[in-house]
Amino acid sequence: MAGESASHIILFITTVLLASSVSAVTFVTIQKMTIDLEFRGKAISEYLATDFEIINDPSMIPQTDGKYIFYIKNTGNTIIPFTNETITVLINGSVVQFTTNVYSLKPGDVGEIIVYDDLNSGNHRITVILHNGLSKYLDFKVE
Amino acid sequence: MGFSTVAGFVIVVIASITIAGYLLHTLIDQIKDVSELSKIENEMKIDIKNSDFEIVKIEALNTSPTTYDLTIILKNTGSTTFDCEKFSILVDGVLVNYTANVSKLYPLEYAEFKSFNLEGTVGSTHRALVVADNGIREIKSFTVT
Repeated sequence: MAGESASHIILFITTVLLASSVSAVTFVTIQKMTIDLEFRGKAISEYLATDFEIINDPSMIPQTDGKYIFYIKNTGNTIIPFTNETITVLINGSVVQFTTNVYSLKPGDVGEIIVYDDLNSGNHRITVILHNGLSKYLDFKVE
Repeated sequence: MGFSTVAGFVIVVIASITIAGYLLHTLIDQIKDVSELSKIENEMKIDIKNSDFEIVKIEALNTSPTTYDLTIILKNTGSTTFDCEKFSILVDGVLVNYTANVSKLYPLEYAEFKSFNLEGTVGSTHRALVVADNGIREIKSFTVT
C-alpha cells in the first residue's frame, strides 16, 4: 500500500515536471518568434514610412574640384539616418566614396551627398540605397 | 496515475492558453501598426496624385553687374496644401536659400518666393527647379534683365 502511494507520488511529480518543461520550452520558443515578429513588424512599418527623392537638376549637377553634389530630400514621415555608414551610393552600378553634410534628415529636409569620382562626359546613373533597402535612382548627364 | 495525467494536462492547457494569448496580442499589435502605416502610405500616394503646382511667373532682376535677385510665383493647381518652408529651389542645379511671402500655399492660391544675390549677368540664361515637400517638381528657364 505504502509502495503504491510512493510510486503514485513519483509518477505525479515526473508528470508535473515533464509538463512544465514542455510548456517552458514551448513558451521560450514562442517568445523568440514573437520578438522576431515584432522586429519584422517594426522594419516593415519603418520601410512603409520612409521615402526620399534625388532632387537634382539632371543636366546640371553641381561640381567642384572633382566632387559632385547630389541633393536628397526626405519626402517620407520618418527621420532618415544620413551617413556614409547608413547609405550606399552607386554610380553606374559601382559603389563610390562619398560624404554627407548632415547626420540625419527630418521629413522635408534636404541633405547633400558629396561624391568623389571622375565622371566622363555623357550619361550616368546614381542610385542611392538607404539603411532599410529603399532605393532611388537619377539619370543625369555630365557636360 | 489518473490524477497525474489530469495535472499534466491542466499545466499544458494553461501554458497553451497563455502562449496563444501572448502570440495573439503581439500579432494584433503588429497588424495594427502595419495597417496604420499602410493607410498613411496610401494617403501619401493620394496626396501626391492630388498635388500639383505651376511656376506662373519667374523674374530675375540684376542688382549688381554680376548678381541678381530671383522672384518665382507659384500657383497651387492641385487640391492639397503645400508647406512653403518645405519647398526646395535649385538654380542652375545648386540649392539656394529663399523666403516666401506665405507659410502655406492653399489650392488655387499664389505664393511668391524670393532668392537674393545669385550669380549672373544681364542677359544670362539660367534654370530654376522647384521641388515640393512630396517630391513633385517643376522646372523653368529664365533670363536676367
